[in-house]
Amino acid sequence: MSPLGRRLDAGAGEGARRFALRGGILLGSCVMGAAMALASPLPIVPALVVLGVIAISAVLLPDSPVVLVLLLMISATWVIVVPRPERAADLVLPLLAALGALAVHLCAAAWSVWPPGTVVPRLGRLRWWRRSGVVALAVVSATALAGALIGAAPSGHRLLSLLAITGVCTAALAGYRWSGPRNGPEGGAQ
Amino acid sequence: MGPHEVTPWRATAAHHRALVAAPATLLLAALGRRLDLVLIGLPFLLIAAWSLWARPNQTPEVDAHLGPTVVHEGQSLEWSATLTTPPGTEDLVALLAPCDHIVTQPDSGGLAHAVPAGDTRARLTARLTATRWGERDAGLGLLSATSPFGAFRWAPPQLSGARIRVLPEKDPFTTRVGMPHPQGIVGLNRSARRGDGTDFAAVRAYGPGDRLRRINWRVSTRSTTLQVTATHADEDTSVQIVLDAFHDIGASAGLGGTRSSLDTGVRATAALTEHYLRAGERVGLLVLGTARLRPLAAAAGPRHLRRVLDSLAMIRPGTAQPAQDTPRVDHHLAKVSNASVVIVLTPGVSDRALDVALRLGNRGLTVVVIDTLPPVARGVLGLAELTAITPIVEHREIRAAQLAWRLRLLERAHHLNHLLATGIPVIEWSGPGSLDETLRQVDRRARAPRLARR
Repeated sequence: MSPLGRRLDAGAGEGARRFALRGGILLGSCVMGAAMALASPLPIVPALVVLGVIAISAVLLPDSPVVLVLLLMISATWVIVVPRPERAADLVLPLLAALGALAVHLCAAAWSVWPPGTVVPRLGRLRWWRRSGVVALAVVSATALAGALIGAAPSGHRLLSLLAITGVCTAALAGYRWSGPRNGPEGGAQ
Repeated sequence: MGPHEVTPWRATAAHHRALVAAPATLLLAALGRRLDLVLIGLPFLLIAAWSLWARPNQTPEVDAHLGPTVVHEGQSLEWSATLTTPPGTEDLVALLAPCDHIVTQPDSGGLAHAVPAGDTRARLTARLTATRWGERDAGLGLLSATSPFGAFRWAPPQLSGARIRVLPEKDPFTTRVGMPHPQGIVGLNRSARRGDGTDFAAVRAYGPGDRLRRINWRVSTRSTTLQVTATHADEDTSVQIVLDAFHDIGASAGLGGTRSSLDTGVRATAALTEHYLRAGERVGLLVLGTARLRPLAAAAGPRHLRRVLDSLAMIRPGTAQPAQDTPRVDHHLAKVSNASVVIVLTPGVSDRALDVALRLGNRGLTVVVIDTLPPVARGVLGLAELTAITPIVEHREIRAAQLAWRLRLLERAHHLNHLLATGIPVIEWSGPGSLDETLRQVDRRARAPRLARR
């Protein structure tokens, strides 16, 4: 292994901040699990055990696809075990789960930005906190709006659902298209 | 180190995660008509959209630099990387590769910089300190820049380093004893012959060719004839230093730490060279056991000190076997003047170095051997010291290695005793005054009456 590889793998010199980020992943996973357990009318202990194992793997390997697997597994389990919300109060636990998912994603993202032992500049830390706060605020606002919509109980329509699904798929494909290396002098592609 | 080839910004695992998690969750929400899942997927949607919106459109340009490339032990050098940062570049990170005997600050070698909004240039710097002489490749490193939320990363190929030459720091050394039998042209040593110097030799009658300023008027008035003060001529000496680099015994912790045999040898050589060059002597250097290092003929002057230090920094112990070294060494030794003082610095483990000392002694040269073996290597060795001498693969080899080293020490003692018996002094290096007593004895012996066979 090259000297740089050894230095990258040096877990002993990881630093307190990177441990805190691992802690953030664990905490976010626990919040999501707890919200799901509280929202579910069924006992979901086996599902929580499986999710716990995946969460620990995500804590150990924050820069791997395990984090994505964890988030997808929680979403899928949520659909199965949590009933559809009927009242505005039923959205409190999904809000907690959304904030937990946000914490898991951002902690894993931040973990992969800084190598072990790096002193993270104050400006960088503040910027990450500020952005996280903005996204969390947007989620809270959306929850409030959703609470109002639940109260109004709008009737669904098959065409609207189809449009929503098409929109999501199109947006996902566009996102992938725009995320690739760009050609041309400004994009800097090789 | 110059500009690097163009590398694009690439999406990170975090961005891919957001790109997968958002549509997957929202699709589930749409299919199941679940408002709660919309909330769970919303953070990923927002982050993915924000990341794409704030994605940098241009690649940064980096210029990494390491300097100065020639330093003394204990001196610092600076590694720096200057980047042009296009809009959207937020966090810069550099990771320097560890290098033997180069201490990086910070210790981890990791540097981070947050680019303030609107700034188009950023600079990362690290201070490196060279703790041991030699040539090293330092400054190898990785660099990366990330966009908001760590969604896109720009990471050029590994930054190339620079070859650093670390010159040895000189041990403190002085001597108040002149060199025996000087034979040069100008210098500070009292010559055996009389001439135009400063040291008083005798008062004698005035003769043809004597200069008027040499007349000793006080003695002349007391006698009937003119008397002159005769002096010894001042001359320089050629000092030939032979450094044994066949082995580097003992662990080295750099400047101020534990010393290996070669650390002592190199720093003592630097000290001796500087001292004798300042005293006006000519100094030559022959390094045994190092490939591609040419011997330096005896010369004087401050530039020669730099040549010697450069040669010392280029030593790679054990890269030349005695058989490969022989023609080069013999050729150089044949040119060493018979009036030279030869100082051999050796840990006494290599037969070749001791053989050189013996041969030069037999030629009639004044030879002094300085023993550089670290004190810790003279007894029962621990695992760390043994590993520095020989690779230990299995635990059971430790006993065998200890026994072998014990036998080697006995053999070494035998060789050193043989040198002493042939009249070659063997001394320990102890800094200032190390050579005083030995040189005094050599000088006394040189002046003593001896039996001449006619």
